[in-house]
Amino acid sequence: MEFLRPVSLGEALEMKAARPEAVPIAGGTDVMVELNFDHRRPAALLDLTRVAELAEWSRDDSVVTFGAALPYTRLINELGTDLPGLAIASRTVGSPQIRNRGTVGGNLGAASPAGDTHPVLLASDAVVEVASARGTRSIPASEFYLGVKRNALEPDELITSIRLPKATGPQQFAKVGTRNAMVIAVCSFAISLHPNESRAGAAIGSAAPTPRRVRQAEDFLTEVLDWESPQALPDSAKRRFGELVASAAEPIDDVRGSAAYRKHALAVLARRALGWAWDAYREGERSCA
Amino acid sequence: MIIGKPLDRVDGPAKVTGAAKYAADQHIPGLTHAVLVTSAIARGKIIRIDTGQAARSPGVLSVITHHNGPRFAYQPPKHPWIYGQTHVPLQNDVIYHSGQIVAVVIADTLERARYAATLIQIDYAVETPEISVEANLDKAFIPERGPFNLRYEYRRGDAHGALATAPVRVSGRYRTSMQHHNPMEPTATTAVWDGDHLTLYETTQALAFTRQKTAEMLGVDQKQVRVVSPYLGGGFGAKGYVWPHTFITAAIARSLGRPVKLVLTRAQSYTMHGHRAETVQELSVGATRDGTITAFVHSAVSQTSMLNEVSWEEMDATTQLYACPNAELTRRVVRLNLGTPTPMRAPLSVGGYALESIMDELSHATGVNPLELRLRNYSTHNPENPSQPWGTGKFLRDCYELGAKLFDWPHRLPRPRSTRRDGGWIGVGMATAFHPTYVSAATVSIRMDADGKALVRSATQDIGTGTYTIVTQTVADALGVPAKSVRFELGDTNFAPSAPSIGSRTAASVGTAAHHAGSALKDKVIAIAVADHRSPLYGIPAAQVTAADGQLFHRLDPRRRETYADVLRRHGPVDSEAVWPAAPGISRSYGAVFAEVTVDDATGEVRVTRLVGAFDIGRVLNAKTARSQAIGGMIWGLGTALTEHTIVDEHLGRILTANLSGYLVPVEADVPDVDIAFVDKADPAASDIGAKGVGELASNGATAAIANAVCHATGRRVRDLPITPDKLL
Repeated sequence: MEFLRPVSLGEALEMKAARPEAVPIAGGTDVMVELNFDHRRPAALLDLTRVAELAEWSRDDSVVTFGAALPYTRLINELGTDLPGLAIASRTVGSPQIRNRGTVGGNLGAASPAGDTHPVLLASDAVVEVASARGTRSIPASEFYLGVKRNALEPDELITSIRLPKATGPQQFAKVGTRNAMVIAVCSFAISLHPNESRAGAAIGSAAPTPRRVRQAEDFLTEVLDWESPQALPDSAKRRFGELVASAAEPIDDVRGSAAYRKHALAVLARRALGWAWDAYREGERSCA
Repeated sequence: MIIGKPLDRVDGPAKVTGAAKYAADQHIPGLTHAVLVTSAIARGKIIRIDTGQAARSPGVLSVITHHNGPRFAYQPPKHPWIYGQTHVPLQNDVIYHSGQIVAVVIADTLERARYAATLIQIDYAVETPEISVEANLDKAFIPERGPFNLRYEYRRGDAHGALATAPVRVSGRYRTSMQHHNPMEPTATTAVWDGDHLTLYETTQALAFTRQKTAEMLGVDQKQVRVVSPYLGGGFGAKGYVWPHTFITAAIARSLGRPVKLVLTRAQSYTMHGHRAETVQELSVGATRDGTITAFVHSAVSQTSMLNEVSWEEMDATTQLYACPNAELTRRVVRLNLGTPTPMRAPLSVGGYALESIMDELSHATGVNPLELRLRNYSTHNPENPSQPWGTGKFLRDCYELGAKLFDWPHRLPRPRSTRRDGGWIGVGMATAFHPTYVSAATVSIRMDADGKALVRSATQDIGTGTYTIVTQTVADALGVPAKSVRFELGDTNFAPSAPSIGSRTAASVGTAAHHAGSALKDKVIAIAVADHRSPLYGIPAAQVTAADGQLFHRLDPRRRETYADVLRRHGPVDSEAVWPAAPGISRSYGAVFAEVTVDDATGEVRVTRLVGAFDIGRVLNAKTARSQAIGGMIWGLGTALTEHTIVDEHLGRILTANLSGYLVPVEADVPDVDIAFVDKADPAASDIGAKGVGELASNGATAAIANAVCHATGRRVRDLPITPDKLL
């Protein structure tokens, strides 16, 4: 196995073009597990840890862009205020050691339906910036996940950065695990309120072949939420939202939980997360008024 | 006195700096690496095994299958005791369980051995495996007792009659899961031959077992086998007995003429050295309306393998804990195409879980507070032998008091499913902890050199519990020297033979032998000093001389004194040795565990919010290591209650959770602050130093206390462990 160590993005892209079978590795928290279990044996690894620009971030008035190899710990500490939903999800990843190594780029590259950050990226209208020696393109998160552990990357492409609007409203993420940490989600849910567009984004994880947005549930919120003079949400609306979220799921039975439990738990997570987010929005509106 | 003090682990610096060499850390010139290939099917035969490609792979020295496998001088007996299992792999083509060893590849590097192992092609004739206890209950049978003399049947009085006429009767059917030990340190064997002498660097809880059984299998004298195991990263029963991978590695090293190292992968550790058996238990209790128990009828079925008939899940708590005139216990097994079970953590804890659950159910049925119910049925004498008072062997009342006070246990329990906080149901539960603990012969030798430093040696083990530290403390006190003047070496069969670290026996057995060896050495040095006219102690009756802080002095005139070093500089080194006990013994440890949980009624998630344990472990030898052991045991109890189960594919018989992300040991975030109290009263009947076992005891009690708290919180009794969220919806 060759171990390729580019020091710049340009070099990395050239290497990837020349060796499209090379597997990119940053934190290694997914790739190393696969290698250790002999689930894959790539001819080459493309080590991205020396490519400084992949671990940088920038922001302007409305958008945050961070490199694909920015570790979760830095994301939480440095961008948590602008990206609260992503910070909440990142805090649930593995252990402190894993958060020091693991990256959102890795989560996207692996494209596991159980990846913790996916529902937030979907709910928050993230755009995945990818590049190859041929050029760059922007893939909306909602078009990025194609199947179980399959994504929209071409063989010669690398994920370079993730671009998200700064949060303009409350964001929430919740997951059920079989224990309190160091656990793969049984199911997960994210919601981001976008008051300036009078709508909310919502998405589920670990409950279908890919992470997915729950559009019917989003549309329902567009109908029932009054953004101008926000009122307390009736329980019936929260429940209906939960049902719509659960109905979008296509879960399986596995060692972590049954399909029936996943659907049930998703409805609960969705109901609660909506309640928390909406209450926070109402609280914010009141304090601004 | 240093005994009892929370002395830091004396082996701590070596462990945290990496200086401590574990079994797999030995750098041996010419070392080769073995990798196991295991069966992909659970039942059937190997039709064809093609090793050609593997054998030609770079660096490969040997590929071993049943066609060319090592042949042994001995066949382990039918009942697994000391031998973990009867079956010796690589002797024929029959497959009894998934994960059975079917080939071994030896190469010059680990990577090359691992790679070559993937090149072996095997065709099987597959048969349908039996893997369900429930589906085979009609085939359950009572095993032979075997050399360990396991008890499968017991009765006193007329339990069925008393149950039939009892004013209050409660019955429950409880299920506990197959579980795995999962010590952090992987199991490892490094076999090094020098002529016809073998050195084994081995992860073992019992040096003597490994030596004895490896010698037996290889047909060599025990004197030709040296076993070295100075540090262990936990064992919990997985490293207690001798399993085939050990003597297979030694046999391959012998035929290859090269040292061989084998380290089991985490996945292999799920099939190479046993597991805790799944059980299905039916338990009934009869009582008067005031909660006085009149009868227990306890019937259990647990899994065993196709080769061995054994159940380690002893259930003596039912017949020994509470005063009750009528009791019946029957334990049966069913054979499955899974590996042979072995003791794990605490064999009595799954029976104890059922007992302490039915006590809670009886409490609900009678309206008697769970704590009061247990006090009402308190036994002062052994219920199996009413002429035997528990005496200093039981301070369980103190445990109840200490624990209830620490926890603030309510005299009046709120009704089940009546208390809510932060969107969850709150409940409390308690349970008694009970476990036998043992002592068996330990030898400790001490040499004190002219510098007054004592070198203590014993062929025992420190499985991570603190043996190094407590023996250092014990010897320091016996000699009257500071702890830093004592160095303890263990983990080598070149030292005097000693006790295995199983059955919670090391502290009491080795500690007492250490105490006697220390006292004997002190007496020798005093005798030398009082007979030596150059000594300030010359002529004083020996009985009037004692020692403290490295000084020997006249009790009545402490100015007459000199140091150990002063005496030994004139006289030369002094040795002593002590063996204890003369005959094996049994005693019992007790505890009371209290738990509070919050249950999310929408998702079914259970969070343990408080956990208190009060334990009677005799005299506490080190407040810190004992506390750590108690906390660890209670966390295991929590795992058994809520998260841990080994899941087996129902068609293929393969373990689906053979790693630490699938088999869920609790993590920090699952564990609340755990409060521990010790009664700390010596039990001279258990050992001369008044100590008895703590390790196994501490993982009893918490499981039932948490399960009872879940029932109190939700009003739902889940009798099927672990209590995963789906079971509460």
